[in-house]
Amino acid sequence: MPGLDELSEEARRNTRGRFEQWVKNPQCEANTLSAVLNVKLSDVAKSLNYEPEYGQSPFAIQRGLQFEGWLFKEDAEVIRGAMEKIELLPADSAGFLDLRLTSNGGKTVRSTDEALEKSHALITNLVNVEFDAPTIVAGLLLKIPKGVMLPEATLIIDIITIQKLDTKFEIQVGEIKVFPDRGGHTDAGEIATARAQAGVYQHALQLTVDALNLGNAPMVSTSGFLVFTWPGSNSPVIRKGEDLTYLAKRAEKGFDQLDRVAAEVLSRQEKNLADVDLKDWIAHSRTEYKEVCWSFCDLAPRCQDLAIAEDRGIVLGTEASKILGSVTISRALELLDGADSASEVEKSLQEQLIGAIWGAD
Amino acid sequence: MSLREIVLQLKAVEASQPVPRYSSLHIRQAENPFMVAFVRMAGESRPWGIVYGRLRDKAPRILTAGDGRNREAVSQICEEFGVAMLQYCRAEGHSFNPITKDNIDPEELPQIWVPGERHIEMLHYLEYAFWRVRKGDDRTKPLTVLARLAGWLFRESGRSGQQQIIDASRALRDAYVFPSDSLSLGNLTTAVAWFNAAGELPEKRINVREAGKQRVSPTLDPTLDSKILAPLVEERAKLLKEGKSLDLVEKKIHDALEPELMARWNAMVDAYRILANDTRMENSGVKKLVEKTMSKFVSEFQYVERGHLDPDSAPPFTPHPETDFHGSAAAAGYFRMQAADVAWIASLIHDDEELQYEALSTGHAFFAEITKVWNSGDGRSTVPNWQLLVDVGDVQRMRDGESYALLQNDKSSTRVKSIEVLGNDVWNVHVEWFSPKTKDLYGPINARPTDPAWVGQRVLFVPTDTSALADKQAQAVWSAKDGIGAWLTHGRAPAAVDTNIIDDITQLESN
Repeated sequence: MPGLDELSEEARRNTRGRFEQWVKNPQCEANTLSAVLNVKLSDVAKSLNYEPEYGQSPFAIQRGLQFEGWLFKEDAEVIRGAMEKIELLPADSAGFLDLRLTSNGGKTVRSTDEALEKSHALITNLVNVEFDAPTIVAGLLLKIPKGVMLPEATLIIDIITIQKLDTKFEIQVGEIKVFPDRGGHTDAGEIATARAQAGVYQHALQLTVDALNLGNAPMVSTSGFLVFTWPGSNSPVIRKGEDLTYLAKRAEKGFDQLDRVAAEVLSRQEKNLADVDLKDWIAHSRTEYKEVCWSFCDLAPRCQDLAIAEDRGIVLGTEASKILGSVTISRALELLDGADSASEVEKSLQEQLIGAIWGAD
Repeated sequence: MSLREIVLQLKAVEASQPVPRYSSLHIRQAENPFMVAFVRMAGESRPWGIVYGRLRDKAPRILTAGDGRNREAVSQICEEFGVAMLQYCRAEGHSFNPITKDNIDPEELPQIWVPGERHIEMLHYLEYAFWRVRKGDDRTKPLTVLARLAGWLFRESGRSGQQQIIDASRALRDAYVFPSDSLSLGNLTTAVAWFNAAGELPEKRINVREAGKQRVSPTLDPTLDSKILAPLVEERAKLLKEGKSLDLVEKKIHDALEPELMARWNAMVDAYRILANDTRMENSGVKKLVEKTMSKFVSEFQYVERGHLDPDSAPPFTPHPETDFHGSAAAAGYFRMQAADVAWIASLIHDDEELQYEALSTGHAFFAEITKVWNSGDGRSTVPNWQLLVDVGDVQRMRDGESYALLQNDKSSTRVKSIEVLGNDVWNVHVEWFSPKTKDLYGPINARPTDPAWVGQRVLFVPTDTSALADKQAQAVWSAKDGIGAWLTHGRAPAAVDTNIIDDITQLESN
């Protein structure tokens, strides 16, 4: 099993995490810059003397690695058994290609360049229907063939399945999470996150296959699958038939938007990027504080401090912020207490608040 | 969130502290409840440590496993905790005086407090961990019974108005409106800190945020994990490999987990005291909710446990932790939840002005002036009728056939017979009385519904308790398995999920 410090190189190059971070608050310029420039928000927070809080527990990382290790041990015996049981793969399926880096529990692939090369070779080989393709591939590494996200855009797909159709191969993407699946009681947010990530994979794989411009290219299925754990055990629970059509479109739109926003923000920087203190730049960029920031951003306390100082409605939550708009909390209180409104906006807000006051005194 | 909620938030800002959400309290606070909180190793679903006890105990009991991934060690602490909770709940087979339908006493409600939603989820994980039994296994072992109780409590936690499992964080959020966003209040220490923090509001906000850094969810702070616990767990593994004593390192692990468990315990106790010191009265409808809670405990949990204890009966149906796997069970469950939802508001609204305002603002209640009273009964039968002039607010949901109760008369029931729109703000509505017909109603006057003295009175109609109908539907679902269309509604699970589940379905249908 790799040491925790060995994972950082891979984490740095893995675009998906940065994309998902950006999606959580795309209106925030600091968040956009952090994702595009690949500068951790925790580092920016530290530079502003705020203590980062969103580290990952070593136990959680180990658990994830153990789970993947268990699934893929002995030619992916465990995950194959589970897939065959639910008919995601036929009963006689065979062949496992492990493209995970050795630093990430893999057996043979030592560098991202090697993983990229082998991933590329695999996709290219799939044009030939006689190719003896592995049915399960772990850690397929893609480089997105566009100027998406500076300085580089790579994605590691947890797992794919490859199946031969009549005249071509079909690839399905999957996302592995150590999260326990409790059937109908499973946290909807966790499922949505896993689906969204699978959607990013699907989109990236489609982009890659299209860019290779192959004759008889493999088909990237719009269906995917999610692999969770049975609570309290290492047994996989697989949710197959996940429709990724719209999630892939979301990813496509997201990447395009991120490109546009990134280009626009970067164009405002007059200096050469190499000469810019990136942390300082992010720290002094425009922010868009929201409740959701508390779920991922180490700058949230700083932005809340600003919101408190400016007496903004967001301090009371998203809904209050929407209702109050540009009116400060103190002013809203004055309006509620009957102060003369100074504008149409204030007048409308006052009418709404007083209309709702019935019994709230 | 409604505009009304935002107005209350502004009132809280004005007061620089949380303000009451309702005019009464909607939960019964047991005199000496059982409290429990868990911590778990990140990535795991079983507990690594448990703190539990009665509120008024000298000190709570703290149990930890050396390694949260060691199933045997975790099972041991769960068993000890399980026995204590089963005894507290006076579960069949674990008490000399189990709660039965003959000795239900609302004053002796067994009530379990947890710090938050994630700890209720831990109950579900406990069910998953210890629920599975094989043919011939003793189904009355404490861990297996704990699994069933934990699963029952987890499901019960989603039933509106239940009084048995209290999420302390939610209890505070339900009782008060805070001058802050709602997301942060999911952390119990944050919610509690709002009652204790000193200073003016901006300073208070910062103090509350600082206090909220103490986690109360079962997952520990990653910094604690990486700096303290991971090295200790690593050391333990090394000593284990070398065959050396683990006592010292396990004590160190216990000592590191203890303050975390105590922080969760203390936050729960603080929340209990905040509510106990609240000057508002318990809503008079809570008594009914407590009775319903206890009767459900008896009919759904204790009944099953009695079956397990009976050596001559087949093992009773044990719900699967994941889902129903059976059309009838799912449908009946749906109707029971619907019944609970209806009964909850209907039980409380008569004794809570805020709830009445809320119902008015959402169109679920209405003010009306009585314009005509008459009896449409034949001969000796009495069928009171009222004609009403109804003030229509911004939202009005009234429809023909709906039932409403007269405020302060929780058992009363009328049905809307017709609605005539007179203008934008006024409707002419005819209601017929179902209950009472000949007894006095309470209100601006005390008189029978047929008394003409009601004419000219202005009264408030509120949602009535129609839960009996949904309860009947829940029963009727089971009979429908032999009716028309049963092949559609009572099909078996599409796939053989696992062999135990098939056993359960067979048992379910044979009951």
